Amino acid sequence: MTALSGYGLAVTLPSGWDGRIYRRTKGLVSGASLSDGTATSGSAGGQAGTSFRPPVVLQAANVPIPATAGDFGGGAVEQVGPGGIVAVLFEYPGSAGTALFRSQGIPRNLKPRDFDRATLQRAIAGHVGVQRFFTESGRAFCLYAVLGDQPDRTPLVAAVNDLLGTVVLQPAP
Amino acid sequence: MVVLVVIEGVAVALLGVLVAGLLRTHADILRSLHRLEIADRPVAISLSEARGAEPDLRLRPGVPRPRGVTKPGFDVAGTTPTGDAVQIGVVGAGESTVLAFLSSGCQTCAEFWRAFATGAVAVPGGGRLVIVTKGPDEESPASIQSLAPPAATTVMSTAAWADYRVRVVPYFVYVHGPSGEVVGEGAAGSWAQISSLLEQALVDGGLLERVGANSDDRHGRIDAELMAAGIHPGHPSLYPAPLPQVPTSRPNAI
Repeated sequence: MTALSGYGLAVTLPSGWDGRIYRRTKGLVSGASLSDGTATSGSAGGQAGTSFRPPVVLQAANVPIPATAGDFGGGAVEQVGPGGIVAVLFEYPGSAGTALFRSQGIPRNLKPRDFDRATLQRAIAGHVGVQRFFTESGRAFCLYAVLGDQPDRTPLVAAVNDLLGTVVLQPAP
Repeated sequence: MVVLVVIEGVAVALLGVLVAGLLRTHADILRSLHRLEIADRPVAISLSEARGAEPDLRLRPGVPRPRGVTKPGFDVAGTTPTGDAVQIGVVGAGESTVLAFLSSGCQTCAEFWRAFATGAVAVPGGGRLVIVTKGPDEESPASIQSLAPPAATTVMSTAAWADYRVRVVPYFVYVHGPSGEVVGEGAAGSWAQISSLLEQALVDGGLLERVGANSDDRHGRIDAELMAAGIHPGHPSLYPAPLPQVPTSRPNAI
């Protein structure tokens, strides 16, 4: 078990899992300054020309996460077979408390029936996924998890819940 | 008498200087040969013998003997060159991992940084490659960032060097994912050497089928495809006529 932490997020990963916590800088306009934690951008969670804090992303998976993986696990989910898990927390700075993120607290008690093929960002045969939008510690996040489905997905969902149970979200640094 | 003693003393001193110079030159030659040897050929690689036999290796000074029988691997946790927290699941992972312990300063490492920057690196047995440098406390993140290939996972972790007891660079460790055990480790001067030696170690350990082991199957498949195309034994296309001789002429002198 290894604890990862950064940018006000922390998670404890099981042995054999890949994980990373990073601040998304892709998509920022040239000349944007990150030195004070704010930047000007036309994308990535902010409106054009407005000041915003770059999103923070947490990725965890029991399959390899390539260095070039996308924010929502693109590059990793393709490697998910039966029993595989990819879980992502993607922050939407400035969106806390808005209608989409009105749910309070990170979900930690997902049910097998919560996972569905229709929820996948990219439909891949044998995969099921879940998305939840929520606010915690004044920060808005999307939880996105993908499972490589198997006849009994209960242990996979339990593993996701165990992982989410270790996540600590603090106010934005 | 005094003059003779002085002359003898001067002669002895000159001889002493000459001997010292020869010794120094000899040491320089030995150092150069040592450097050439490290750069040009592998110094050690072994399968951690599941059979329990200690491999018979001759090691160069400073190169640690590969660790003994069935040593456990460790997950690698640290930071990326940009300072983000990262963990690489090595133990119990579905696929195997080659950990490449590199530094920004060693000359032999430069060969590997260049090789890894050229694109996807084929790892014997289909595993993945992870570059591990020492942590920001002992390495310059900016230097590592400038060297780290974008497509390769690079982790800065001094703890990983301690876990795997790495004492020289470059050094490579192959961890079998499902068992979580180190099955091969060592050092060499190029990725081609490392790849070849790891492949050999995996074949010897029964973890990888020797390339070409199914040559009979391959020949059978080729025969079947040729016959499906109407090319049977004795087909004229299998015995092409030799090309006509083209007369050669000397180029005209200008």
